Amino acid sequence: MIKNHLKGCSVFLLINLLFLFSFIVEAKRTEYHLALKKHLFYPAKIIIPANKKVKLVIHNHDKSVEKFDSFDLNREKVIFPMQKSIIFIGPLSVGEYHFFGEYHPNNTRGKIVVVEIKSNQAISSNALNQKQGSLHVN
Amino acid sequence: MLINTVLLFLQSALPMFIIISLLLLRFTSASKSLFTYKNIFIISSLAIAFVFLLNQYMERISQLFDGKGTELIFSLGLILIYFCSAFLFLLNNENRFINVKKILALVIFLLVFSLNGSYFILYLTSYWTQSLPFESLFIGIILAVGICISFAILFYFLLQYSDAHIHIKTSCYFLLFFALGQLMQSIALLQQVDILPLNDSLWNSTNFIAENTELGQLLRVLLGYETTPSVMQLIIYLTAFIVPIFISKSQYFAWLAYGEKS
Repeated sequence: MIKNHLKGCSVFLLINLLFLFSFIVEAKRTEYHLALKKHLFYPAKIIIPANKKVKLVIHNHDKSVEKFDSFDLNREKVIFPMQKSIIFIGPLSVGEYHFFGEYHPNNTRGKIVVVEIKSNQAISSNALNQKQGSLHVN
Repeated sequence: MLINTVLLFLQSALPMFIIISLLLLRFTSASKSLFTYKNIFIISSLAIAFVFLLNQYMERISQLFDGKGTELIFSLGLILIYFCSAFLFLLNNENRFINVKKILALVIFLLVFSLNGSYFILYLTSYWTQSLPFESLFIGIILAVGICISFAILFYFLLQYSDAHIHIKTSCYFLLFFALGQLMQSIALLQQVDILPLNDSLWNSTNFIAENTELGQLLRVLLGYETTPSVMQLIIYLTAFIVPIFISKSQYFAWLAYGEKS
């Protein structure tokens, strides 16, 4: 009887998990691109607006695996050679958030600088790109 | 590279050694026949096979579901670890449901071993491809294994003492806490790929115990410690902790599982 009960519970929980995943809704997020070449991040500093969730696309141009890690952002992701990986960060408050390559922590380092963009400042995304020198796709 | 190897191995291996200690305490002397040389060899071989299998396909998995494959598969594995651990927590009667407990323990062990071991194999692969000095890697692994074994043995005897003299279910609760830690990691993975929403954090305890310190990492594995937990994480943590305890104390469950009347 206990086995039937356990089986029933497992099916119930599986249905709930599937139900949870069925509500996945991915809104359009602003993309920021980060390149990894010779164990260095380009750009080493990315500026993003405060209180907004953004999409970070990391391109690994090296022939070895690297692991993007950040305690500040609570993110870690393996990036395979010659491939790209996507992570979402934010919404973040104003400040600096450091990240590094876990397999080469001394060299592979960078930071995300979160700035407040007021409505009357009207900083365009292109201006933000020029400021940080990264690729940026809307 | 030596220090980095030690740290990375600790990060991957510590959960494996801790779960071995916790699972060993779930089986009493009555079921010690589980731990024969043959069984240990079979289980170890299975675990190593799973690690290499997962590592072999990890690159392809990472490209599934629009780049979210790794997070989805790993979070499902971590959630499964939680549920198996919660069931093991509920089946705490020492001499009942031995076979069910064995299967649950095996599933937990294989999942913890493969999910954590695959990351370290990736590091090893990366290390080899760059032709870095072998001595640093070898010494780093030896040091890290020594640290893990020392901690696991101390942890095992500490919990055994606590079970005998302080509270009989100490090791049960630590197993549940370990499972909560795995659940928290799954939430972080799902937030990372925008499947679960990320809210503002409730507090920031970095100044108290930072997550990037040895103590922070240890508490993360043992208790699911987060320096900046969100509302969702806190609610799930509390629910996932309280519900199994509530069920275990429920008279209906005692009657259902063991036929015991109040």
